[in-house]
Formats: sequence, C-alpha cells, structure tokens
Amino acid sequence: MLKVTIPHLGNSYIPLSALFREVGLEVILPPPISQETIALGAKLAPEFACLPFKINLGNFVETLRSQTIDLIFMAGGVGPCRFGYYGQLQQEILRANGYQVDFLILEAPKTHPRELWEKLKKYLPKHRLTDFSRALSYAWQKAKAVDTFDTLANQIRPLEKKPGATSRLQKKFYHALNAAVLHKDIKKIVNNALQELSSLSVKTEFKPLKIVLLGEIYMVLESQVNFKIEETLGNMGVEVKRTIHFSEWVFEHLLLSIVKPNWRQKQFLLAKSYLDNFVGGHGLETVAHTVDAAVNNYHGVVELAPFTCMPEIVAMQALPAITKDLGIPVLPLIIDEHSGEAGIRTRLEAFVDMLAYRRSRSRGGELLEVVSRN
Amino acid sequence: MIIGLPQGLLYFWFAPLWREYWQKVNCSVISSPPTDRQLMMTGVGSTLDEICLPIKIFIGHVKWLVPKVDKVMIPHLVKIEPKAFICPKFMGLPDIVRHTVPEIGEKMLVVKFDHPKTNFKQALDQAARQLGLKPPKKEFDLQNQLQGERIWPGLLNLNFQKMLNQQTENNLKIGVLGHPYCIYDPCFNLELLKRLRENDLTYYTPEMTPICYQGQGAGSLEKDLFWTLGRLQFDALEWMLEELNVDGFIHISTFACGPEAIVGELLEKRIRQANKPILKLNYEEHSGEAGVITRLEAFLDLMKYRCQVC
Repeated sequence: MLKVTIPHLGNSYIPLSALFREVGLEVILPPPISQETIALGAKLAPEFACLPFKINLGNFVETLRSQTIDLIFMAGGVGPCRFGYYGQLQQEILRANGYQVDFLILEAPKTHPRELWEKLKKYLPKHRLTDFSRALSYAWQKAKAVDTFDTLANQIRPLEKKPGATSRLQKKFYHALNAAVLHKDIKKIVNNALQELSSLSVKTEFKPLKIVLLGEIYMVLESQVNFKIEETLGNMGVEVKRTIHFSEWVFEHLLLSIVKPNWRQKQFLLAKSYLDNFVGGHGLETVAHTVDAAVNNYHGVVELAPFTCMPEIVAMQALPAITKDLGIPVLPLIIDEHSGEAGIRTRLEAFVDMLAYRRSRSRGGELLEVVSRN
Repeated sequence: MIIGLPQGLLYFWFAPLWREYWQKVNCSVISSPPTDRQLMMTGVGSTLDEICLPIKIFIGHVKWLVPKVDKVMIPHLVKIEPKAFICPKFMGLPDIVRHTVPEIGEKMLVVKFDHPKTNFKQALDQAARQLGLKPPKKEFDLQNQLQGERIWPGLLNLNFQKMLNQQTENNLKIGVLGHPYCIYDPCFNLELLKRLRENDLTYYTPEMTPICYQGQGAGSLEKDLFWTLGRLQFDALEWMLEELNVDGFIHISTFACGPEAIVGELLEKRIRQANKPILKLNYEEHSGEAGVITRLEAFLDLMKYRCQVC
C-alpha cells in the first residue's frame, strides 16, 4: 500500500486520515508539532517565509527521518497568498537536502479540474466515483463533528466548575473519533460526546466575556502553534467564537467557489467600508468578521497572524479604523518561530482584564468575576 | 486640475504612461520628488510597523502631495496581466492609504487596473470620467506599445533602454535582481546603482530585458508563478545567464517581503546551479550605509578575484 503523509493543520488529520484510508492509501501522520519541528523547518526554509511554511517543512522532515514515505499530499493555490507555492518550494528544499520524495499537489478543482483528476487517477488505487463519494462522506462527517464539538466546547469551557474538564473531554473525543470507522459509530461517538459535554456542571450566574478569534487560517486552527489560545482564553473565563473552521473552509473552496461564484458577497459587503478588495488568504474575512463582531456586541477580537503574512498585514492596517468607528477592541498577535508562551499569555491576560474593566464601566456596576482562576 | 503622482511603487514603470494620459485630458501633472530620508520617515511614522518599506515610502509621497494638488492618483494594481497578481499589499493599497493618510479625503483618485476586467485605457478613462473630464478618443501612443496580453516594462518606459545604452561595457558585468521600487529608488537602496557605476561595473536590471525573453525563464518553472514581478525576474535571469553571461548577481529586496521570500529562494537556487556568485541585500528603514558598502566591497573583491582565477 502506498504510504502517504500530510502536514498538520489543527484537527484536520482526523477527517483527512479517514479520507485517505477510504481511497486505499496508508496515512502516516507526522509527529505532533514541537519546538524541534519548528526549529527544523526554520533552519531549512527561507528566512522570511511564513511560519506555516516552516512548520509544514518541519513536519515533513520529521516524518521522513523515521519512515519511508512514498508521497506527500499538499494543497495548491493560485495566489496572491504564498500558500499556492508552498508545495513546489518545499519539494525543492527537501530534495536539496537529500530527501527523495514525491509530492502530490492538489490544485483547486475550479482552476485546474483536469490536472486534479489525472493526478488522482495516477496515484490512487481506488479511484471510482463511488470510492470518492464514500471517502468524502466519511471525511465530511468527521470534519463536521470536530467543528460542532469545538464550537460547543468553547461555550462550555469558561463556565465549567471543574477546571480542565472540557479539555479532557475534548481530547477523549478526538481520540475516539479518529479511531472510528463506520458511519454509525461516528454518529454514536459524536452524540455521546456532545451529551457528556452539555451535562458538565457549570456556573449559572457567571456571564463570560465574548471574544472573536480570527486571522490567518493556520495560526487559528493549529493549537500547537497558537499556544492553545482557545483553551487559554477559555480558562480565563472567556467564551471564544472561532470564525474559521476546517469543514467550512473545505466546503467553501471545493464546492461553493464552483457552484456559487459570489459566495464571498456577504463578507465583501461587511468589509466594504474598510477594505474594498480581496487581498488573498483570509485578509478580507478578518476585516468582515471584525465588523461583524462589533455589530453583534462581542467584547473583543483577537487576530492571529504569522510574521510577514501579507493578507493579514493589509487587514491589520484597517482594524484601528474599525475600533475607532465601532468601538471594538482588537488585539493583533503576530507569531513566529521565536514567539514564547509567556509573551502571548501576558498580552492575552492584559487584554482580557481591559475588556472586563470596560464592560463593568459600561454597565456602571462593579467589576464582575472574570479573571483567570489559575 | 492638478494631478499628483506619488513617486513610489510601480511609478518607475508606469510614470510616462500616466503622465501622458493626464496631460492629454488637459490636467497638469506633478510628481512628488525623489524619495529622501525625511519623506521616508513621514511614511514610516504613519503606517503599521509590519508593512514593508516601499509601501511606507509610498505613503510618505502621498502625504507630501496631498496639500499641493487637487487629486492624488492612487494606482490600484490588482492584476496587470493574466494569472498573476503583484502583491496583496497592492490589492489593498487604496484602503491602506485611506487609513494611514486620513487627510486625503476627497482628493483620492483611485485608478483600478484589474485584468481582464479593465485594461489600462479603460481604467484611466473611468477615472477621467469621475473627474468630469472627457477621455481622449484616440488610443494614446503608449497603449500601442503594450504588446500582447502581458505588459513589458522595457517597452512601457523607454528610460530603461536609455539606461542600458548609456553604460559602457566594462569587464565585469553584474545582474541586479529585485522589484523596480527597490532597484530605482536610490534612497531605499542607499545608492546601490551609483556605487556599482563608480566601481566601473556594468549592471543589468530586469527592466532592461529584451521582449524576446518574455516567458522564457518564468515558463521553465514547475508551476507558473502568480506574481508579476517574480515572473519578470525569472525572464531577466534567463537573459542574464544565457545571453549576457554576467559575472555575478545582486538580489535586493525589502525586509520581510512576502513574494520575494519564495521567489528569492528559487532565484538563488537557479543562480547557484549556474555556478555564479550572488549577494542578497535586505533593506529596511534602519539600514545603514556602512553595512551596505562593506558587504558590497567584499562581494566585488571576491568577484574580481574569481574572474582572475577562473
């Protein structure tokens, strides 16, 4: 069986493993992202390449050092974000460093439908339409399940009475979901997990602050790189609303972009007064979701971006104007291979304190209990 | 009506085209002066730290122009050729200007070039109509020189050819790679071209590449690059390696430039394959002259030594 590997992107390994298994490939996941991974990637990658590029590269090197891999799966793109050229350059860098491995770079079906099909046919042992549809249905079910659970977990975490209970359930759920094979098993696991989660004992009188988490997709989704920001904020008593979900992203780029070319219309309209053009990556989404958060009375916004990320920088320039007009505080966090947990944590704590003070002032009342218990 | 052209970003390519157009519709045109330290620092002071220096410089130029003219033309270059962008920062340029130079207000004149929706003539006509001016009927001269679908800076702006012809052929030839606003802005690159001239070197820039090399270098890549300025550099590299056989390369870019992080790496690989020396220089607002001179001198010495030995 062909051995393939994929780069880490948050929990995407759960649906992607299922997908590849169903089309007859053996998936070997890279070891979890660690400081070692980041250091390895940063050493080989160009200095100013963005952090996701370096970490992907680190993932590949770590996998190739311990295993023989036939094929690396990578997504492509058509710019202007650098992501579209990741695969090609990573392949060159790996070859120059003595790792002989093939890449299968999947271009968007919208722009390169023929190439995509031919590549798939060449490599996949099972490539009938029914195989694909079955594989996709499994992957979709799992992707959806992860996102549903995460959304609920973010709401429960600030309210939990026993610190760490939500995160423990989350870990257990990921593990069980990844192992599940049949549709009905997946369904059962999801239902059980959601049940367990909602029956956790919670504080009823406590009103958590609400923060929207947005920015560049990799930094938002990969908890090993963003210093588990959702968990950290949750433990500080903050309800986090994440705007980017893997399942949605796949749905938008694989399907919506073909059947409904103006799917970004809502975001264009929301962002229009601050950013009037698509700028690649999630730049437009960042601005649109910030406006959305302000209008819907969220208390604050945290923007995550890797150092030198072009779309996020353009968006970042527009954010102060939104803060000024609509009165929503925004904390931009730029992360690179030198970022330390303490630095990020300190800034988050200060931000949350400020938001709590701001809320109590606006209510004219006294400071409610908001700040972290640990 | 007075139209102001900020002397930054792709002004170095399009200035003759824009100037001619606005003069045709009876506007007077003034450009901001060449970048100086003060202008640069004005830009640096009003933008986000993370933005690259060329954008900061551009903002400095806009700030200089605002009190002096009726309209400041902000070129919104989304796409100027098929299947390639310039950079996300160019795509969001009008918004960056709006947020960093709030005093510009109604004086902002955005000209949006978005291939294939608008070509250069249509984009400028649209802007002229916005101002209540009648666009010129005849296709204006420079438009004819934009051959085919891809634009070619050497034809767009004849200054580059002049620059090439002015140089005498010296024994050492050097290829300078980078974005136009990095190469032709002496304040940005601390007078690199002048220093090369003083050292009796003949230098070649991407904009001097003859049109017959269009697509030659960029086409040989595994995947088409989706950045206009990157493509041009690959075509230029082909010209410099195959026809000119230059003795070495200098690659200049701005600190934390997104596209150049990828393109620069690919260029370097190709140059190393051809067994040529390369000096990579990164600039930002804190760059010092001494650092550049030292590195340049060392590189040139090595290049000369290499030529004697080989």
